[in-house]
Amino acid sequence: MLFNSYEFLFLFLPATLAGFFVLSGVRRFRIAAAWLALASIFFYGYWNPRYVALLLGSIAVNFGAGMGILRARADGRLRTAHRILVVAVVADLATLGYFKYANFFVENLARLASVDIDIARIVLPIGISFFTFTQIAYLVDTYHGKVRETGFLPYTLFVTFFPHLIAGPVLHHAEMMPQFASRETYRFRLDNFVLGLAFLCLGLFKKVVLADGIQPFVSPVFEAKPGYPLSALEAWGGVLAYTLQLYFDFSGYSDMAIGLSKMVNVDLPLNFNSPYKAANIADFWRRWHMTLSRFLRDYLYIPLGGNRKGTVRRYVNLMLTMMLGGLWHGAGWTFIVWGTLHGLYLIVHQFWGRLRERWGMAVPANASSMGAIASGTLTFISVVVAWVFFRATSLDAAWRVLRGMVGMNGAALPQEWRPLVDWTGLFTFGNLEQFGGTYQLAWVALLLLVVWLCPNSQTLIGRLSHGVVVRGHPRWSWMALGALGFGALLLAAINGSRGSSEFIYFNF
Amino acid sequence: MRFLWIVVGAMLAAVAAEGVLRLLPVSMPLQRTSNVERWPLQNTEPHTPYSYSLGWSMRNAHRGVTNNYGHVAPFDFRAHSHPVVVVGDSFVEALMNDYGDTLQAALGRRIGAPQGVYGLGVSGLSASDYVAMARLARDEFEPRAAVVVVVDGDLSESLIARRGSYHLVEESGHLRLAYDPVRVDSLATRVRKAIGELSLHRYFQVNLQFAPENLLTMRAHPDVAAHQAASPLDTARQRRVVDWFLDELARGFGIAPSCVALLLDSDRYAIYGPELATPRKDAPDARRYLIEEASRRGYRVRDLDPVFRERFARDHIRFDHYPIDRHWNGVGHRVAADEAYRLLFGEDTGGRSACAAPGGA
Repeated sequence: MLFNSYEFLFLFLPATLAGFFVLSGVRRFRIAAAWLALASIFFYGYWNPRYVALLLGSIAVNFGAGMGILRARADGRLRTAHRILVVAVVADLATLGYFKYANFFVENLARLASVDIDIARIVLPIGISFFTFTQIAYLVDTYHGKVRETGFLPYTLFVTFFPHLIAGPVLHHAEMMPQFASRETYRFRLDNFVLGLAFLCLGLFKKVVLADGIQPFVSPVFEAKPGYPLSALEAWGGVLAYTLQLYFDFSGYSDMAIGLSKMVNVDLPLNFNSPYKAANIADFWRRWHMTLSRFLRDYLYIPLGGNRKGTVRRYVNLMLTMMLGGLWHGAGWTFIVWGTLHGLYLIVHQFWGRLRERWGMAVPANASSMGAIASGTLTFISVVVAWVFFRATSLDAAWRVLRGMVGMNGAALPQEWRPLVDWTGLFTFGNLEQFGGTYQLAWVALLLLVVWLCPNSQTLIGRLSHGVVVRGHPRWSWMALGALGFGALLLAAINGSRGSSEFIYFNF
Repeated sequence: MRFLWIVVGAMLAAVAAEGVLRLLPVSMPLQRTSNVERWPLQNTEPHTPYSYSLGWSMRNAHRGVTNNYGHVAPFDFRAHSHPVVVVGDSFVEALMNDYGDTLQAALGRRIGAPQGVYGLGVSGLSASDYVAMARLARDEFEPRAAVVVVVDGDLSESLIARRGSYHLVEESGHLRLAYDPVRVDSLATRVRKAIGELSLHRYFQVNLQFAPENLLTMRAHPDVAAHQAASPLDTARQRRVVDWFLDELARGFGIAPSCVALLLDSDRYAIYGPELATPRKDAPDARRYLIEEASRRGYRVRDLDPVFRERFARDHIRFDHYPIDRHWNGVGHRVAADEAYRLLFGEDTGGRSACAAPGGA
């Protein structure tokens, strides 16, 4: 069930919210929480009921392990606690490894050994990367004595809560379980409901209009026939389209998740903060998929030693973290190369920063705007180049696109532009089959302006919150509710006119 | 009171959306005329503005005004003017192209009489309607030649009773043309017309193809089962439609079959890539039969499939608004016009076209 589908927006969501608020209204808080958990499990099972058992089993094992660790710690048996932690984490990783990486591993083994190994294709259960990682974090923090809440229901809700279950944000138990345990959560709050609906509509707009609007220009380039010589314009057009599609698709999903959660008075962490405005690559990772970055930092980079064991180890740790981050996204060499590239970018960035420090060229807080633009542009281009590997279905396909981007197949312009620029004598023209002409150019330019110049979701909603919800009369909030409801219907109808459209991060 | 404020908020949002959409090229279909006696010749209200755009993003926008017969042309048609008429469905109506990029315009240029070719295309017509159109065109214009564009579905849809359309019914072992009238001037019609003036309504209904039942059935897209392959039973019935169609068409126009060119469209997406092929509504066997039987009876026939294939292999240029719209673009219309010209006035007539106007082509 997709957030942008009719069945979610007009059946599942109203029924879930109605049940939750009715039960909360009669002060049946635990039943309201159970209702939300059941609805979330139904939401998961709607995609494929076979994997509900996997989800519930994972919850039971991890919660049981967490309780075991807690008890062992309380009794002063730290080695037992450590053993339970190791066994549970290994079980989690083994499950994830089986479903997500078995095919990849066997295929590569077969290729190395030059033998045919025929195994059935294992279907990836949706959301497994997300619910596995959140639970590993829970176990590690339990071992470190950072877990306070021990209720099974808040835990189940923390893992299954439908707004984040399928594609994040990657949640931390410490910010979620107290909210599910708090009675404040179990009541209807008009201000939160309106803000939540506003986030939902904004996310729907990003997904339905912006991401799906530019999406038709992506596949022709990345799935062009192997012999087709992609020109520079075709390649850049497709890659920039994907750069924008991915951002609006995923940040749209995150906005919807945040909004849905807010409607039931639960705050999810922000996942994006205008990443394409980043001044450098480290800044980019502080703005892109922020909850995953936080997870990789806290549960991989720092445990590996972080920056505490010398410069070389710091670079090695960075590279390992980013490579594993790449592999987390998918079982394929393209994802490993994507992660490696980002690891390399971060190392170069850190190395350059140290050089500047050594040469006494530290970047002042009020760096010149030209310098900021140059740095931001270099960062953006580096990110765009890396996305080629993220999107391509194989390394060969990625190289084909990159060859096109550097102009190895020429830089012809489409014939339709001949009347406009032929007088310059500078350009050649051709029949660019994988380029959408002026229409595509307009889409790319418009969306680049949006990502570079427009305020992000949290700023926009903040203004709405201040203007209508907080300062205005309650009737303004009710009217905003009606207007946003109409907006959701319009966006759902637009989405419905094209058939269903999945979110990119459902594949991870 | 809370509910009231919610409704007020939704209404205000709808009014704002209406205001924005009024500035955008939302589809405004041609307004159907209430004069049923002259349908489909006079299909829509004369001298009425229309606009066309496709899908949610209102792509390929075109605006225009219908002529004195309610057809899409930049000039008025004249009665008894002996034109070449081009009959077909939305392919000939061609709202998605500039007039200059239509078969009728291209053919007019080829024969040196830009206003001597009348496009009589109406969206949704089928073979049975073409015959009705031919009869009305004969009485009104006395055409000297005709081009009929036959597309997939024209044969099968002739057997389906549709309100406001001609279809074929079985009577004593023979097929007979029947008309299923629309109810006009009822209160419901007037209300529908008034609502149809709203851009927001047209955006939902035409551009998004949204219907409230989509919400109830939770069906995302209305066209999921639109294309279903023909069964053997359909094939036999469609062959009978072919026989009836060929019996009546030239007679309907009041001209010799040799002055009627039949252009058969093909699955062009299958030419661009086999994986893009679409199941056909008309049986391939019935289509083949139409080509063979029409040729045998003296009609000028062209299967456009090999023509499109050859042109695509040579130029790699598509003939339609792929992938958003299967209707011909300017290239597709020019290809069709070239073939129509060859069949009626060019080398295929051996230089002895019987359809030429006095003193010209």
